[in-house]
Amino acid sequence: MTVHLIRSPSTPTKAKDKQKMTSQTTDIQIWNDHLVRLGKEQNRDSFKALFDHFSPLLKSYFIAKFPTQQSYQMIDELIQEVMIKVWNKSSAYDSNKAAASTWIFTLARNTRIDMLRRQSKHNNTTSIEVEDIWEDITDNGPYTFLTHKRDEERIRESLLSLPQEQQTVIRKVYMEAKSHTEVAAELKLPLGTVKSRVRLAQKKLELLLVDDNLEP
Amino acid sequence: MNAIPQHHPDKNVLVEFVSGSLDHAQSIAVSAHLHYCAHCRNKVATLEHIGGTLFSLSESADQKNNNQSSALSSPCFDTLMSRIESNEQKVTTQKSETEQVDHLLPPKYKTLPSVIRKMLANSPPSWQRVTASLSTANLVAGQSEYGVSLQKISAGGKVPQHDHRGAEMTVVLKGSFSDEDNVYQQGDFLLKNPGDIHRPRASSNEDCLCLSVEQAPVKLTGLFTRWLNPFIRINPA
Ligand SMILES: [Zn+2]
Repeated sequence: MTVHLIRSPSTPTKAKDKQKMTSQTTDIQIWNDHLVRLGKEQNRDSFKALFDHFSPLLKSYFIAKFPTQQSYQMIDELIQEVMIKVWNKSSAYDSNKAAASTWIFTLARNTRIDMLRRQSKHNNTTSIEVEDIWEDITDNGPYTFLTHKRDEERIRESLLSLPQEQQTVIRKVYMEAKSHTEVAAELKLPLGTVKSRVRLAQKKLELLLVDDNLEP
Repeated sequence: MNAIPQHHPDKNVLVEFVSGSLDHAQSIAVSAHLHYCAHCRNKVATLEHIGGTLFSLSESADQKNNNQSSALSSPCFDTLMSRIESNEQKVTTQKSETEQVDHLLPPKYKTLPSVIRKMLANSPPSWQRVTASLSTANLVAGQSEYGVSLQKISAGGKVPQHDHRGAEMTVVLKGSFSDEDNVYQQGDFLLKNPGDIHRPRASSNEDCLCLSVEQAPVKLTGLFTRWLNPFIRINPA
């Protein structure tokens, strides 16, 4: 399977891209606002807007992990589960801590882990849930040092500036949720190579994503 | 929560934690560390931001490369809304579950990371004495690939030298201990790989309580979990 992170740099539609990217830069605030409004007033129109925007993204996300046609029904169910969580948990969303897309990404990740655990034969129903492991973090005080840059245009460009080999690895790690060991096996690379590619890509992205003077 | 942790999971472990590919039991150890470590919570927030950004930019790539996604239609909004409306009552009654958990626990456990409190409340620890200064209690984590347990070393107590057959993550929950290399205090995170040998010793003024998540060595699978615990594999000498 060929992996293009966003769009290959050679795509010849530059002018059109530019227009789209500019509109996406402002988009990010729109989704945060919708999510805040949903949390405050259970606003249905905001929920519909979030649903229309995020369901296709969720679909891509789940297909990356469950690519076979037999999974389609399950993916439909997973998307609904995530959107139900968006509705139920939106009052806990804080736009100072995370962009709506980041917040929904974490819900999607938790839902996917949950699904894999439900499928696993070892799952013990009396035990802890996925939220017990991941939710503790976000409830645990403000991220005092951290401001995230929310300029998607810059992020898009910086992703494209990564070497293809790093793009491939970082996408497999985040979108396909493969462990470093699984990525190494799939790409027939030594584990150390995968780890160092992840670290390199990560470092570059962090520099672009986080205000450096505020990083501790 | 006085000490600031000095020993952290490495970046690759945090990336796997954030993307959700880290093993469930190991994720518990990372989560416990995050409870004490603002530094790593910030890192996790950054990694989640990167994940969220990749997520939010993923659609175009998918449409370009992947015709299969169009074969899958999106769920219907009205169906979703009716599901939400019929669920609403259920949700409100479930809400206070985590708070209820704390009533079941002795006060000394109340400052522990919530994921550990939850495991303790689900099945209270049954302590087993291993040596004069070491006790362990298995925790139920809903999986079988790793042994998840609490380890208690009494003040000044030594743990027999042992090696690690599977990777083991340790998080100090209370007190401190030291080995040949370092002193580990509350919140500190250690990863020992197969083949590493160490000889931990608790500080003299206080008992030391740790969370241990150890990969079950393949050749020993099937024995009682407690035999998989590194602290219990005492060298005969
Ligand atoms: Zn840390």
